[in-house]
Amino acid sequence: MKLVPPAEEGQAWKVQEAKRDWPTRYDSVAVDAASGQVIDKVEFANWPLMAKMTNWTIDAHMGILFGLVNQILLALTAIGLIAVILRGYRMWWLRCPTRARGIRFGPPAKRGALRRMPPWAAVTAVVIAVILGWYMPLFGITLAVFVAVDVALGLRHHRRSRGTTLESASLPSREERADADRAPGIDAHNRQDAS
Amino acid sequence: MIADSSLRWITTALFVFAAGYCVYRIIRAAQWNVRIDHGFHLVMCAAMIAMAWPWGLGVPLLPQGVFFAAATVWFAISAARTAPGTTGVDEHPHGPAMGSYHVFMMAAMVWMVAVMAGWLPGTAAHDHTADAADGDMSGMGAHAHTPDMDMSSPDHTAAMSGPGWISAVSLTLTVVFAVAAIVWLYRLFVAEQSTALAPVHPSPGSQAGNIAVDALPASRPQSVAAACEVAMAAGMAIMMGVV
Repeated sequence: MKLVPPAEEGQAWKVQEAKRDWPTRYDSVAVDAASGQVIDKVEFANWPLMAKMTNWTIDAHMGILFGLVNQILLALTAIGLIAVILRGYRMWWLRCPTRARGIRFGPPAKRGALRRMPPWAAVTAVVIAVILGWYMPLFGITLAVFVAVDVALGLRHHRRSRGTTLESASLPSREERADADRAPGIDAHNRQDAS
Repeated sequence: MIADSSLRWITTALFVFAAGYCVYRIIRAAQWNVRIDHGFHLVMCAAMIAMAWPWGLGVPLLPQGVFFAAATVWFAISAARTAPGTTGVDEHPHGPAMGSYHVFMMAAMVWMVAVMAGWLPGTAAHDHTADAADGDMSGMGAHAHTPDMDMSSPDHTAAMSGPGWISAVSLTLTVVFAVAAIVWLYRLFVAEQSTALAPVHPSPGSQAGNIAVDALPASRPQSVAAACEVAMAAGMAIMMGVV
């Protein structure tokens, strides 16, 4: 229960419930300090659905809504996410060229994953990402920045490939032959990771 | 005006992207009627950007209404004169269905201007100057907020929404443009797949210096045009739903 004093003279006191575990209670009333009368009431049942969902999502995210079970599920989710992230870095490390001199990184994932999906699936993925990004702004902003950088890199790659469209018909250069020689080693790393 | 600053910036970015494409097409188009098409869309994008910001509320509405009514007539005539099956994808993709969609879009612009100006029965002109001075209208944001007990302030919602049939039409337009954005997004991915799968064919008459440009797959303009349509439809849906 929270008691909020009036910010200005003539306003009412606010008395708000704040029971965040299930069943939640967020009813609130306004009380006239002079007469002690309840002059208004807002019931949680009358909140808009999205406002209810926002509060329930926050409470579930903080492990408050369903108590210990909620916290165990969150802990398992956190462990799973950490495992996926670490395994992703491991896969990336295993793709690093081992015979090259200097600092070399592993080849990036093949471009165009979204384009290779069936169009309806790609549309569904984009719509879900937009909705999630809107309601989880930190996720949305970072995803938007990532997509912008990725599109910029893709355009640069596209321009370079345009410039060398006809050159591809000529014999491979020394570097290309060297890359081709290194390819079995990279494949071996990938196979090792897949195993 | 869009009160939520993040939504305002997103809408602005969508229409800036669409406007940039329109400028590009105006410069590159070979036919004057295509330039006029994109000119109408360019002005539409500029008007929508202005409507999203507080400073845009001072832009006179009567010229906008006349302009978009003329644009509606233009696209209607254009759609009526276009033969079925016309698919000029390298220019603006046109056909009766596409023309009808643009007629609908321009008519929606007229609707929006009419609502803002209070020209419809049962509505009164809104005091835009006061809104611009306030810079914010509580309760107009798109985010779901926890209701705060501001019991001392009047409810703005009833005053802003006008008669129910106007809200119903605006909601219908929002849904239609949201669906249009999804359809255009689908067409964008279809075009992208065509781009990825299309064999690269240099034109026979190409010179050594411009072969790479000629070797672009033909469906790339379709992708960019579809992306522009996605941006315009999404922006229209947002504006119809919020403003």
